[in-house]
Amino acid sequence: MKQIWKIAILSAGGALLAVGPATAQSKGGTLTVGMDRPMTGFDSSMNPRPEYNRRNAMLPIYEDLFSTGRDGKIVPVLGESMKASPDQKTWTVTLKKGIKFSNGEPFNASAYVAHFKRYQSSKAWGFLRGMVGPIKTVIAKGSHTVEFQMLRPFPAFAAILSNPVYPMWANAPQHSLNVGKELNRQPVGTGPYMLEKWIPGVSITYVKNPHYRDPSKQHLDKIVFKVIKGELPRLNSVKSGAIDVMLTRDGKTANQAKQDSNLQVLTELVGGTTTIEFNTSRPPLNDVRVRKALAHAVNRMADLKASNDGFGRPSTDWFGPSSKWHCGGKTGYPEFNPRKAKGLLMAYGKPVKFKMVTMPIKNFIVGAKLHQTFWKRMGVEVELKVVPPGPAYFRAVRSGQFDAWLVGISEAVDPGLQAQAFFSKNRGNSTKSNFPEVDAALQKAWRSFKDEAARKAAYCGYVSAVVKQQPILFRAHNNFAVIASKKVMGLKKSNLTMTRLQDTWLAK
Amino acid sequence: MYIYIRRKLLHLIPIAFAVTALSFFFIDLLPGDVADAIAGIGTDNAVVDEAAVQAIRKDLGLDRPIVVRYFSWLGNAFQGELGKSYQTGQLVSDAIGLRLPVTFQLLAMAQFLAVLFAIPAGIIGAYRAGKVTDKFVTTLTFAFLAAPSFIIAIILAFLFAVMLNWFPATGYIPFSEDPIGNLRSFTLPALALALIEWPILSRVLRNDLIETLQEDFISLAKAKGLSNIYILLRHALRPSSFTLITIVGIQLGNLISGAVIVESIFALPGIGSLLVASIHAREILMVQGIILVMAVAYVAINLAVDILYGALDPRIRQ
Repeated sequence: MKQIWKIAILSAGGALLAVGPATAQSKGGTLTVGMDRPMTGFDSSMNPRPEYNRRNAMLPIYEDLFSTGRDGKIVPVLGESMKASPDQKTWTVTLKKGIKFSNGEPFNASAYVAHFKRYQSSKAWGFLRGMVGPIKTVIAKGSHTVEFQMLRPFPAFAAILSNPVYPMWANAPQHSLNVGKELNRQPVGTGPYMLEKWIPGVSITYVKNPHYRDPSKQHLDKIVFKVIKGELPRLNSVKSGAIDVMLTRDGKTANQAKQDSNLQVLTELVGGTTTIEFNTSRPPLNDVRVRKALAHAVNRMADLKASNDGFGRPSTDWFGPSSKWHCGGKTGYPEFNPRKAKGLLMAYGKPVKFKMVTMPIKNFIVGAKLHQTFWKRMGVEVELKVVPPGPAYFRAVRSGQFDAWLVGISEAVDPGLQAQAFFSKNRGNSTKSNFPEVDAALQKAWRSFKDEAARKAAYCGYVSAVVKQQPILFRAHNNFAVIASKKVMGLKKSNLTMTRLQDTWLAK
Repeated sequence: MYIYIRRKLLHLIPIAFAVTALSFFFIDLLPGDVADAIAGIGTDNAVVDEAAVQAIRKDLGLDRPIVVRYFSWLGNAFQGELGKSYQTGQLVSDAIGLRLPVTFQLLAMAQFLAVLFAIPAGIIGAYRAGKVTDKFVTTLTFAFLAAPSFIIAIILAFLFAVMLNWFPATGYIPFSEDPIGNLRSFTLPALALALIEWPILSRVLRNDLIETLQEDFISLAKAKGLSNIYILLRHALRPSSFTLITIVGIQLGNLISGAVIVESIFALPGIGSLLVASIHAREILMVQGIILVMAVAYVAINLAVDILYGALDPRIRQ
């Protein structure tokens, strides 16, 4: 009998030891996060930029309507259910009851409608629409039912509703009215934390939301985002304990962090891709043989190694391998073949010389110089100009004085939102693409909205049609990394470069 | 002296006018403006909505001619209103008020450390001129002169923050919250700046001291049997420190540019990093406010240097 008791006590103790450290979610403490860029504001109608530091810093105070589980199933968050009309032009969302904003205002259909009306009347709506789709109007159908009416069938809306898409994050309506433009500095959401203090360019401090519906999930007392520019200073800060977490796209930093046994590094192979786009409307890049030759001439593994320390994967379409929309590498993307490149250039028969513009950020400038070197080996002369990032760069790209430019295609939740700019009639058609085959492939993809398999086939057909014409060179799907000290518990991999730091807790 | 100070302060008006006008016009020459950023331009594959950009520009008053905008800003500045950040809505005066003490403390500590290193090094170099000690000090000064501040800053951070954990790698703690923590957070950044500053000061002091040591009054002091240390510190150092003081004043301008980098590396929320971020974001009102404050500070420092001359040399006072 004694023996049995001993075994039972030892087993129970062992079980506690095994489970204890992993599951005990300790309360309290301040999580400090290093941001690479300063926050520009919380109101996306005034600051629509999707830059990842900003999105991550907004996450603790806002919530999505739904999220997507590991099994791909939709998980209710603020929403309870969603339903699409057969023509997929009307989407109805039922909201959960009893939810409050951090100032105590109720979260209901009229609050959500007010949020959208404010966005739709803002000057940034043209930009935000690109992220939420062709919404015509949003109306309240009862106290907790919201109806989104679309301009056209829009199957991508399910993905928008169930992913962290920041224009969908609502602010408290009465507070928004009261503070007007100051909403940019005084956000009020439904998330587990709320803004305590924001010192622009320095730090953002969040404290617990007293109206949050599930206080057991508010493990941390405070979350502080600090601006620490530069990869090395931020990595040194995590290593020395000055901060707990940093987020990065930089391969060298992530690889260095992986060498340190005191740190944890979680990587996400991000969808979207870095690219080089061509102006296809004038010589020499109006000839598909030249564009194909430029694609064949470059060893993309060498590009990835040089520009991002091999952190990522060469891309063959604009969806990453972890996305359900990835075309499995079957888009016919040209392989590295200098002989083929030379043959195509010989067939073109004229000297190839053009101007390319890039930004002075490592991934872009190294990539541009490497392409320039590979192309030079083929006898192609490229004049490279460096322009600062931000508006100045995009003004230079759109100015028409360059034949090629480096740009990223952002990760998106659905192909219906991504890389539509190769359609000849698209306002954002910066490559001046005018290929009937590409237009037809995209129109086919728009039509095939009822069946997901058909949609995927149609979108892959569109990617293949684009690759065939090569108005764009794909470079790589880059990784995104969350680097944290080991005392940060419950850390999960990011989704669309967003990490739910508000769900973590600190080891005692 | 009063007339002298008044004359110097009057100089401030054309200086402030010139630097703010130049910065205003130069920033306007850069492609893109804050309206682009507010409309979302500058992000991956952004579609340029020109109508929205124009509307935002009108809202912000950026559609007015640059001369009108400049004089409008100048008029407001005279009344003490420096405007607001277009993007964050923060008052320019608040942003500057928050960050100026940080940069001021950084520069003050850096100058203090630089002078602290430079004086003994200069004295040793002059006293042992041409000897091994002098050559060693000279080699050391040239080594630090050749090293850029960001390299020194990175090495210091790695050694003393990551490896030894003596000082924080980044961050700022206000003096009012924790005086010791504040000094710890400023030690490495100030040291990084001081290490590039002290060689110049030390070289200047050494050369001036060597000249002073040839003077008749020094020979007289020696003949009186005074000790070498006493002669160096009491008789030679004061007349040899004029160039040093001038350089300390002038170098403050250079230190501000060094501070931009060091503030970034150590994540100190100073005025240098604010200036760079504001130029990138085309926050012209913020840039103007900072430039104005810097111009005033620069004139004030040079004025202080001139007053200090008078204190050191009675002939100038007369």
